[in-house]
Amino acid sequence: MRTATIRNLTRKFGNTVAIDNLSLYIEKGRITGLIGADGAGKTTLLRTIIGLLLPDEGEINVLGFNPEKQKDELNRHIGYMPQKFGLYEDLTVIENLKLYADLKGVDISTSSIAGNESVLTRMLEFTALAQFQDRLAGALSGGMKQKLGLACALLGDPEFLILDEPSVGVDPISRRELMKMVREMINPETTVLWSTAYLDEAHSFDTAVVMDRGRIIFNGCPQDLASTPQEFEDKVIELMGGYSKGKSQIAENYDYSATDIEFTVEADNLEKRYGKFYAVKNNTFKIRKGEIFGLLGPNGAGKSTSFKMMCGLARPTGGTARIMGIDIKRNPEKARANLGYMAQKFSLYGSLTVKENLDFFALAYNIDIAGKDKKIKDIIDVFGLNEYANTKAEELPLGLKQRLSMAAALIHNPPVLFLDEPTSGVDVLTRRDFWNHITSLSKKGVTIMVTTHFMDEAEYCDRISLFYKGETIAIGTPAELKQKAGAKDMETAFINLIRESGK
Amino acid sequence: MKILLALIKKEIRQILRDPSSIIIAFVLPIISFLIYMYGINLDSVRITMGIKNDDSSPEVATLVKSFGHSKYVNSINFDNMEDIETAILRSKIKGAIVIPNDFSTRLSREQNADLLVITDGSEVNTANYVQNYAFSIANQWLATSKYRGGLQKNLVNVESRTWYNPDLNSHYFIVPGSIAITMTLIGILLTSLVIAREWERGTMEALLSTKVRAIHIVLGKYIPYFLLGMTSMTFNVFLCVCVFQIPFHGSYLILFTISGIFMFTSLGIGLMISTVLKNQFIASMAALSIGFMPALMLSGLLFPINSMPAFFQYLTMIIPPRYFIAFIESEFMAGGVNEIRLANAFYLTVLGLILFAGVYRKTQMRLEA
Repeated sequence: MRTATIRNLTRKFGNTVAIDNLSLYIEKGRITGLIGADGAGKTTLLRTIIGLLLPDEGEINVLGFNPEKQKDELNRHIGYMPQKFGLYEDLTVIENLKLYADLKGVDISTSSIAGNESVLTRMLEFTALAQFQDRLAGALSGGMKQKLGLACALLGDPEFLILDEPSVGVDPISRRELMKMVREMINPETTVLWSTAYLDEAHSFDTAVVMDRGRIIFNGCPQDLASTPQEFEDKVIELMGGYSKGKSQIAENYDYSATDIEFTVEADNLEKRYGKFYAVKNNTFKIRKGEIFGLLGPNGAGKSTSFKMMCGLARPTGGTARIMGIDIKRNPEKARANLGYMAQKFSLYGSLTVKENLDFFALAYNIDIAGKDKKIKDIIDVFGLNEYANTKAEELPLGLKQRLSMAAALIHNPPVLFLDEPTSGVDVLTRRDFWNHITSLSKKGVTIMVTTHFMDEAEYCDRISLFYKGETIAIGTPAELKQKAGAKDMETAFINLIRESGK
Repeated sequence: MKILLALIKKEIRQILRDPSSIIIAFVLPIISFLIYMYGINLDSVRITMGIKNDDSSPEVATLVKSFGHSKYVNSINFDNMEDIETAILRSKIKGAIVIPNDFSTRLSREQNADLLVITDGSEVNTANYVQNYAFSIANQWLATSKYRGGLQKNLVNVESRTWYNPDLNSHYFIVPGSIAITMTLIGILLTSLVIAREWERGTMEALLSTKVRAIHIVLGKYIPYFLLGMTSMTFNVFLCVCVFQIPFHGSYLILFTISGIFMFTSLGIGLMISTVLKNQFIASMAALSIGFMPALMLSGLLFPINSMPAFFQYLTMIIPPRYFIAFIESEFMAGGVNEIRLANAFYLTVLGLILFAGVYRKTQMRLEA
């Protein structure tokens, strides 16, 4: 049985071909993972399947309907979670659930039928949001928002569930919970189409579909391709054309000025308090010159707050931090001059071109005018942005946006680099490339503090601080942490250590 | 029906939680009433005017005196035209009267006598006042002078009596008229954001994959904002009549009915902007420039439509506040003028229906047209 049949689908946006003569069958009652680089056409494919976009050519049949003409009928049978989750941030958790229940015609009225009454209760239970049901959706942490979005998509027991990167930017614990939720809430007849950037996730699905430039380059059982998630990742990279780890041009061209300071970054009892709530509490650590220091922890643990305090963007309520020995509280500007910061959210100017953005940051960081133009030209070359020099930043695919953000953070050759989730939502190839640059820079002596939700990336770090509810619960090399948790891989170590901390 | 109710409930919650909608609906009217009551005065009290009298007859001297005695005019005597010109240029006087040397002679012969009134056309409103004051003072003088015989023959005795607003108090029409501005802001500015917001935040994409139909989306926006608009309207009328003591001579039933039609029309403009532009920032700019500015400048509230250039007079025909202001001013000051009620209600209904159809047609059920 097939849930969806797609034949010779082509879809263009202007001159760009998003989907190129693609044919695909999706089997009923299975979970199919959709993988691919940024801009490979995953979202376009999902949207075309449910009729939100129209195909230029080709035929689509979903659950016996033609989404081009029978979108209304089809909508009754599907659950769709878009990339932005579709939650109303100014409504509470329960109000969002009730709204979507009504919009999908799910009866949740407190009438005599006990089975229906339990729909919402069951959803709240599964999302573990029962105690937060009166909180505004906008005030939820990233992981909770995703769970609520998924719950809304699951309402009405859809026959076909379509999830567009539901786990982007989510910590390993929440990701496991999301996966568990889907597996337990659906029945054996339900078909799931799940687009993801996490290859370990895709490896656990019944079918994996790998897309590249609008075409399908692999379609089959992921276990057939490789038996472990790690090998699967390597195989997928191979399919996508392979990644040859060359010399990092970024590191080669980096103008690093040597220093005698042993600990280039120090956090000294850093604390941030909002009323009675501690977002960060006695956070103390020292990072050695040239070290890659990973800050790991669930969503809302206080990682970003720590980052912001350490680069002088938020004022600590207690303690302080030192960058290259300069106190960030007393001398924020001087300390910041030694720092390159890449924020979690894309924080460049969308309407400026790549070149204009770099030009602006060069001026903002006070690079001398005479050398500026050459410097920008070099950095564009090194970061491989030549082709896009005159493209507006907002039009770049996610991976390139991240690359541009990193270029802007590095333009003044800072000895210290803070990267807040630099690889969130970035495809596997770009991520490998990123880490090649990061490790090469550290070898040159640049100190790097980084956060990530990819546990395989945590392995690249020299040391890791595990952060939970505003406090450090463990600190050490990846091997030490794994040993402490009695786990084979970082993900299990992460989950065990957080559980053990017993809060 | 259930879907529509769910959407309405959602929208009302969003309105109640958004401070900006409450500010526009309930705080802005208070501020604008205070401004229109105490800040703006369109009555030109005591205009300074120049007088150059070339006729030496004693009768004419009384005419000059009556300019000096008028409570609307401050007069300054001039001897030559150059000085008048300089004074007008420097804005020392707002206009001038020149009495020619054959003025009394012609009047005695019962011929038409000329009186030159110079006004400063760069200030149209003031110029009108100068002209009107000059005419009425001259006519009054004529009626009491020894030449009144000529008046009975040639001229109608002009006695002005201002109906509906005997004190010529501009507050009586400006303050009700400003209700139209508040209603326009709710109808156009607030709603211009609401559909664009759904596109920007990605909620539209989720809505489009449920059972929702275009009509649900459209009515789900019209109805809650209509309710908000009419609540604000009630509050406005209360402020107007009970707090600021503006006399009301019309019928409340008709006032609210036609206000409802106006709200429907304004919502159409706002939602049209929002549906087409899909970007909150651009939509709010568009709402200000095609909604709010014309409501203020071209509606006839501050500047009389018939003193506008012909092109703008035609342009005002597609501006809903124009009809609403004409109606609400008449309903407050005169009350019960059925021609005014019907004509304006008719135009508003037609515009509103056209816009509603447009919004419905433009509402997309996919991510692309």
